[in-house]
Amino acid sequence: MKIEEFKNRIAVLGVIAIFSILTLLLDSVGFLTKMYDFTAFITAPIRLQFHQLSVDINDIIGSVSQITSFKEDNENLRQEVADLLERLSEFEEYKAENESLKRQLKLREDEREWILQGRVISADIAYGNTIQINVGSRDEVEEGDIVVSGEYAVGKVKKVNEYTSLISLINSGENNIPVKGQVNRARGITQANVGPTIDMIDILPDEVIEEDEVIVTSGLESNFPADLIIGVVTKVNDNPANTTQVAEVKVQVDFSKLDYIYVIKGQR
Amino acid sequence: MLVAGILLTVSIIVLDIALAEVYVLSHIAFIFVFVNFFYWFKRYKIGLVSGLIASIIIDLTMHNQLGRTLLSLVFPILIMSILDNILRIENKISSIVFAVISTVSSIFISDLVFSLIYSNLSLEFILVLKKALISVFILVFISLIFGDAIKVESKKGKYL
Repeated sequence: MKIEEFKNRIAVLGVIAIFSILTLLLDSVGFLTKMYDFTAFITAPIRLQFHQLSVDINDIIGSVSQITSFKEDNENLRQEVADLLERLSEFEEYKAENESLKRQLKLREDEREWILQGRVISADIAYGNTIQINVGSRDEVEEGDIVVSGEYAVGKVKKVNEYTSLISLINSGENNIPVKGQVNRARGITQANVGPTIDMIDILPDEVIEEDEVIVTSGLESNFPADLIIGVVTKVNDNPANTTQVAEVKVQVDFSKLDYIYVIKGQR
Repeated sequence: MLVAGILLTVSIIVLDIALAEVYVLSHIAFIFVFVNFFYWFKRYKIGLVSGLIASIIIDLTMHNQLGRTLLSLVFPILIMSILDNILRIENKISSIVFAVISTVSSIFISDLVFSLIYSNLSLEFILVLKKALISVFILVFISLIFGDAIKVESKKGKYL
């Protein structure tokens, strides 16, 4: 090994290391915000197109890989539709009854405060559990706001710049969301897991949680408002040796296919 | 040379974002593939510069903290340089073996450094292994295809 050459390499790498630490420090005190804004302004439209293309590609790959199970899925879906129609009919009955009771009691409808619609411009789901959307501080988005897709929770605004915002998804390790079972009302907290599932932890032993139960946000001590859908319980670990129960929850939103989303004000 | 460098960096970034979007590889692993590609053919200068620029732009576009990807790049490059000097001098190992060793070690080291700094040592080995395998596959694939176009005239190559 040539000592001179190796010294050169160490020196160059040392300079790069010092430069990166300096930029990290400058970034942490918000000195580089304008650079992020400028980059977002230039790249956001291109990345939106990229994301559209990737959603299409993922869709095709997904369809090809699932082609063998289509027939079986179709049968299951038919059965599910029949069951849902039955439940819908019951639901409509309850809804009418509920509205009538509300009118009699003069209760005010608790409407969600919608801010704006945005579009996903990039997604880092496999490694980062984040997405970026094409709305930012210019559109009054703030850190801690909540991103939803219909009634489904998507994530929380982690970082905002002028034109774009970074969202940490609900299955990210940064989000421990207080949740509850929709049927048995067991309470717990979400915890990141590998793949499209998250764990619901800290469920007390005397509480009941079952497979296929829908898990929603509880709205307690969190930016997430109540009753946003998180997922469905796929497995319950109620080992009596443990002090609490743990449930595995399959997230219902396919983040790779997200396009339009809504940003709502988080609870403060 | 300047135009070629800019075009190269832009294509790295475009490919990187495209592949990360379809969940093939993480951004940093993709940058390693390209840096390793140039190291394979002893094009140290262009490898380092394009890696540097790509890291900065990736951090800016992906809302990472600026400097994070760059810092993750430093230690693996240091290891690669040591490996290059120790193993490749007098052709002790072939380029392909060097590329495989350096790519796998780059990804492991960068993830380890990253988990040390940003999380409490929660290294997900399955994900790291997946990244390493895909990276090696892409690296060997592109090197075999584009290898002839980039071979250096001198055996030693230059470093800055």
